[in-house]
Amino acid sequence: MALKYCGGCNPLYNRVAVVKHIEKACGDLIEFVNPEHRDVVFVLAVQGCKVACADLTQFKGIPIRIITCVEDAERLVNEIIENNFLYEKGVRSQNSESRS
Amino acid sequence: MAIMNAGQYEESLRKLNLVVYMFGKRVKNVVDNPIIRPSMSAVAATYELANKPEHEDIMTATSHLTGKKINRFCHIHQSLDDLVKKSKMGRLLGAYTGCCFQRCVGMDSLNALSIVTFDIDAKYGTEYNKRFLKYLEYVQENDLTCDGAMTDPKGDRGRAPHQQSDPDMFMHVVEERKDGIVVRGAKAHQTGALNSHEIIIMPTISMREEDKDYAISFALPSDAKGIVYIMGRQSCDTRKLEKGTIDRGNQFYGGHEALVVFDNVFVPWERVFMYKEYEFAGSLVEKFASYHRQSYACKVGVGDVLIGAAQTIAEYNGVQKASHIKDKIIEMNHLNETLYCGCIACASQGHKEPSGTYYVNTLLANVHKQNVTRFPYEISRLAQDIAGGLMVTLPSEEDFKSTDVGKWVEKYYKANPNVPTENRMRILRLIENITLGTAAVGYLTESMHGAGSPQAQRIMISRQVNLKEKQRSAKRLCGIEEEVK
Ligand SMILES: Cc1cc2nc3c(=O)[nH]c(=O)nc-3n(C[C@H](O)[C@H](O)[C@H](O)COP(=O)(O)OP(=O)(O)OC[C@H]3O[C@@H](n4cnc5c(N)ncnc54)[C@H](O)[C@@H]3O)c2cc1C
Repeated sequence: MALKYCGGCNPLYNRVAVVKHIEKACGDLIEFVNPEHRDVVFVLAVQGCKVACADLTQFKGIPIRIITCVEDAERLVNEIIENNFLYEKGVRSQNSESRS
Repeated sequence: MAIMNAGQYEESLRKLNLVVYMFGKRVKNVVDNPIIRPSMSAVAATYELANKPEHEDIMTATSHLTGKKINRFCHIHQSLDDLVKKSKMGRLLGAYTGCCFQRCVGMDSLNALSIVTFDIDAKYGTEYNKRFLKYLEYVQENDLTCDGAMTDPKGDRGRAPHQQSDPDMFMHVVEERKDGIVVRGAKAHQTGALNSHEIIIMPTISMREEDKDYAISFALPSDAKGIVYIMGRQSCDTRKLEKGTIDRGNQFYGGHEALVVFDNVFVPWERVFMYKEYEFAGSLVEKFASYHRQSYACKVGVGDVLIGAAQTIAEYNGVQKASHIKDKIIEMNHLNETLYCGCIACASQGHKEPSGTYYVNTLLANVHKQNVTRFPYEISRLAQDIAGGLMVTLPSEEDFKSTDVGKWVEKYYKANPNVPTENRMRILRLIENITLGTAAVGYLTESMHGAGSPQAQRIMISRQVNLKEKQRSAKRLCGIEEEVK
């Protein structure tokens, strides 16, 4: 999962802390890579507010999940832990899934 | 190396051989000088944040010359989004450093020159824009910090450059050679000059034919032969020489300004971007000033810090629940966000110039800067109101740490029992720093005069508003027929 931040001019929450929280809560269910990584299958756009101005043009054709507040992050964590999220997005298929 | 990091930037400064004077003495090691170093650290933050994933979206851009990722401070705005991101970058860095981070003035010079060199060429068939773009590529490739040097000493303000009793009151050409020109004069109040790799010279005012020797623009390495820097003093500057760091207020960052003297300095032709095309001097001033007025977005970021400090001291003093304190914090935010409105608006209402560079809306940029000449003063007044008198009567850190009297300072300057006295001292010193210490140079007086004194904006506002159209609206609504002249 590529991690793409907005520039953080005046964020309404601590974006870096929230990402750390997602990483910790999801453990090895996800792995963040930098946006230039070749094998990006999914993008998490961490936007500091609802303006959501991070430039996402480089990710054309790749599914993107945008979070703009702590609650969005919590929802994402729940979906990942409940294991619905990545299936829904087609990132993992039920057949190839080895972890439950 | 299209993007440097903070460490590389610091090392690059060590290679410069600047001639710097402070307190009457030559400063040999500029980078490690305790009075200058916090200002170097503030510029270094512009490099540091460009390398952080959580800020690079604002701090970097794609060069229109090379397609490479570059620091936004070296970028020529290619879209309205670039202009908006520039304003956001100002706020971000203002909040990160709590002071003037000095690098905007160079970015604004580059953008203004990208437009005006193109326009001069269009009229005269010269090749200033080609030269400029070559220079720009060099700046971008090496991620350089440029000092944008516009303000001359100006002598008698009532006289044009050629009328001054001392001809050096405005930078001018004193010799023309085959390979370049020799210039003499000075630039005053130069922000971040000692932290810059390059210095970009522009005229201060619009000019007539009699002043054509003064209508020059060029760029030089900051350590070119004949350039001398005389460091400006800031209120409370020598606190940086003291043993402790609490009394500095801001532990990490600061700004600086200097008088830069050009004592018969040679400029090769390839670094000359305007030479006696006097009718373009005004346009260059206006373009630079408008971009630079937008750049005062940084004060919104410093305002963020001051509001945070005011709320903190209110909590430490135990008054945070009082309705008038809450209201004052609201007012500070209101003023600060109003400033933000201006710098975002002038960016989003910008347009594309014939050169391809995006240029801010000049009316809104001037309105923004006019607000900046006022609101930080009011925000500071409110911060001082909330802080209480202790921010100016607090004993020194040495007294606080003294084995004799430290216990009294600790005892009598405790307010909220859960907050250490030292924390209360720290936040008060920060408020002092921003509202009347070293950082007040940037937050207050620079807000007043930087990018032009208030009257300069009022002149621009009066030129740009369409009064006739406003009158037409008024007359139509109250039934006045258009008068036939
Ligand atoms: C902290 C700080 C940082 C700065 N950084 C830079 C920088 O990096 N680069 C740069 O080039 N400049 C910089 N400046 C300079 C800034 O642009 C000037 O201060 C500004 O243009 C005003 O010029 P001045 O200071 O000479 O004041 P003055 O021109 O002396 O103005 C003082 C007063 O006189 C009035 N006045 C001046 N001339 C006239 C006139 N002809 N007719 C009527 N009234 C007049 C003004 O409106 C003002 O009210 C900086 C200034 C400050 C304070």
